[in-house]
Amino acid sequence: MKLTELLFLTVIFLLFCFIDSQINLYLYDFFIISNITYLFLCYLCFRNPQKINSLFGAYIGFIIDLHQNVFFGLHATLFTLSILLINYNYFRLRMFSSLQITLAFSFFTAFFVGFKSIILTTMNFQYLVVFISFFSAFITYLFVPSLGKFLIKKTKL
Amino acid sequence: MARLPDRSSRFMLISTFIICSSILFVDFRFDTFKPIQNFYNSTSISIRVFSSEYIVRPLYSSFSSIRVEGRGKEENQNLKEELNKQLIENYIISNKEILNRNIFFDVINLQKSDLTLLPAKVVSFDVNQYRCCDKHRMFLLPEVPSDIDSFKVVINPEGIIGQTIKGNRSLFEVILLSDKKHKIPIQNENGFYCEAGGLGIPKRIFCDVDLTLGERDFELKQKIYSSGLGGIFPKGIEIGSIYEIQDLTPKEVRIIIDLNADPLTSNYFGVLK
Repeated sequence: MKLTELLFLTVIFLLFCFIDSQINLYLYDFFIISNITYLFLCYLCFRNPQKINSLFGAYIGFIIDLHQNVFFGLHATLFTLSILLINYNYFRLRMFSSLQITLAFSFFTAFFVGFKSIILTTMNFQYLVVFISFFSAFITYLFVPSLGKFLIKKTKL
Repeated sequence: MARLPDRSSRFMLISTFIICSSILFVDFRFDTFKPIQNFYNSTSISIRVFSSEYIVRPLYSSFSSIRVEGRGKEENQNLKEELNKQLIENYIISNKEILNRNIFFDVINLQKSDLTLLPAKVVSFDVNQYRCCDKHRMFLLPEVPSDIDSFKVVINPEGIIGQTIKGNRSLFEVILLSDKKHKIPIQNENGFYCEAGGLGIPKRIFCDVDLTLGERDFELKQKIYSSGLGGIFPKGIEIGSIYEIQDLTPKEVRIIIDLNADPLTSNYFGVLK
């Protein structure tokens, strides 16, 4: 990956991270957590697993950990684990329809939200948040591919 | 074994995951990477404050001076900040008697005491994290550059919100009462004492009480005060009221206390030095 592409993607991920936090401010009362950043990573990794490899996932994860002031390595671990799962099941996922891929990534998101909640919200873990995250991720992922195509049109990712 | 896409390395995928999870474990268990995060936070906040004070605000004020409504907004903002500062001073005055009889401040009256109020403004407060997670922290910028030690009480017009934990002349971090890692010794009017910890929920702290040690001398909506036993918080300051009593076991209950002070109500805080 070229340096310009790396910088471009870093800015995009930080922007999505900011958007997620802004959306969460309003939706948290309804137990909904926005996960555009994570779904965008899943989409990119599925689209081009050679360029969006585990090193990139770790890099973006560490940047987000610093930016959000959470435990160092939390996002990095979950991003690399997701990339590992996508790589290991790449050919299976390629056979899936769009709906099945959306469902699979929604499951990944529910796990992502659940694991994050266990670490960050130890005393107030709520299953409802994890459950609703699945549905919110399903709806969000309907828009992520078109958003991703629009954003990375100029790069050769 | 699953087939991987071209040019994907199984070794790299697994080794990166193991390294990242090891880093997470080390940070979670020992706070090893805290200095890196502190450095990143202080740098990003300094850049934000600098750009806001010396680039954005001058540009905005020169632009808004053209429009009357812009000037009005700025004036409104300044008045709000002044009002907040005044409210904090009023809080100190209204609690003067309690502070006077406090053994830890050891003062006869506020005018003659060493107790000073240092106004500070919020520069970074992750409201998202405050609402969702256990970590409730904020970064404040003192109005007058001054050395602020750890364990200084931070108040707003509604009461105590937390204490300073670390900082330098220009910036310091505040741990809120509701943070999971925070503890505050409390008492009620019946002589019930307890060490309350943050619940990780906004405006809530909790206290686990072993009923085998004594009678149940607390009830719902009863006022809770700081006991001053830790030597950090002044004694007798009302911090909240009992919101809920949960039975953990037949011989142990958890008291949930609703705090009076909401850190979201104002941008200005006072540090008692």
